[in-house]
Amino acid sequence: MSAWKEFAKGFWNQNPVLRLLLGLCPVLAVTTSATDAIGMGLSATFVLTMSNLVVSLMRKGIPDRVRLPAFIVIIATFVTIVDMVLKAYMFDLHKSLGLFIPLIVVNCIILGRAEAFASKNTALMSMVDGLGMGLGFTLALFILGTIREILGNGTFFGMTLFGEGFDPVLVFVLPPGAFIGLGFLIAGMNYLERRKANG
Amino acid sequence: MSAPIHTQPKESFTSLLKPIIVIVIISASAAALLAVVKEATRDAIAAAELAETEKGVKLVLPVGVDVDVTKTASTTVNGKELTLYAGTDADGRITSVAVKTFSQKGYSGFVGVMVGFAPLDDPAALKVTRTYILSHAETPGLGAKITSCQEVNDAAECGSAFWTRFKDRPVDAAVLKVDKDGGEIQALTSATISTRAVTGAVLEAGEHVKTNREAILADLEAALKGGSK
Repeated sequence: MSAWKEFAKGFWNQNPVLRLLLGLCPVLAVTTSATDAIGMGLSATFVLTMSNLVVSLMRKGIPDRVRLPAFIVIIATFVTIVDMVLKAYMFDLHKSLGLFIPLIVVNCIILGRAEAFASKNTALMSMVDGLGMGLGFTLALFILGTIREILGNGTFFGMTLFGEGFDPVLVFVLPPGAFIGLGFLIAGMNYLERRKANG
Repeated sequence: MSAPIHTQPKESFTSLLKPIIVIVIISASAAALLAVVKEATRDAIAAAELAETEKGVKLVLPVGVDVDVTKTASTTVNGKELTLYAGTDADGRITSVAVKTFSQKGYSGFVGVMVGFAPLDDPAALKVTRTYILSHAETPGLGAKITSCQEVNDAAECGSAFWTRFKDRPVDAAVLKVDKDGGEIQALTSATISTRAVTGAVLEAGEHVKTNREAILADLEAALKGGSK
């Protein structure tokens, strides 16, 4: 498979959120605003790309029986780096993402890609896979975050969009709004897919 | 007697040892890498945390007072450890105090509150200067309004700043209570619990400052003289 195909599959055919329904915990929790969604998505993308690279480089040296602990240590290392760097240079973003940065360790997309892809493929392909999957994850978070922020808060990247008379649909920034928004996104994607299949 | 059903295949010494060595090497490299990153980000993290504290302290103290957030005193009330920051006038006299406190009674638990009090020379006239919410997990759109417009110091810039409900209120249990509980602090719509949590923390800190004014002043003087702590 070509590198482009490995990269592009994360956006549509194997989009981690909208197709594989993986890693939904951060998807539902941090998509209350577009800024938080992008911050979370890019943090996960960095971790995914780097852990895929390292796992792939070490795939022949890691004995099968300890591969999961080894993967988790590698992933946790990069998550901790992201946590410290965000805290040092993007304090406000770190404050609003809070607990969900350390929780990237247990995001099943990341361990999933290490196990299913990086441990069987070359370093370059694994990085491309991680980057594609991560950006696909970011895109899904961004779309959901944008919808929720506009409908639930009347703002986009913190800018007020409507006049005083706008009454936000509060439920969209609450957890049920995340489920409703995600449900409509998946339904919309399936509809497009079906139309494409039927010509 | 039948043979045991589960028999372990014979393991060579290296096949047992290799996983252990690999895990140790990976963990040690991870620890080394993290130590380097921690060292590299330590100053920036400390600076960011200090800047965050300084922003809160400066907002709650009266405009124009000097403050050095590296010089703090602490005090204990009802088992809570509060951090105190002194606001000084041009002559170096302590005129106001910022108190970092918290409440566990928010709708989602912890609410971190910074609150300022002045003037310190007359306990009977002690008033709340301002409040600032440091951290919270209240419901977006409802309880989260406790942070509305708190980055600005001019209430006119913003329609409904929550902190204006506390501004210049006397430290008095009959005033610093939610209106539903017989006080004068108007509760946020559908967020009485969040309002009550903040109000409770403000009143508790205020009464503590009022009754222990002299000890607190002495501690702050010592902190200012004693250099950074």
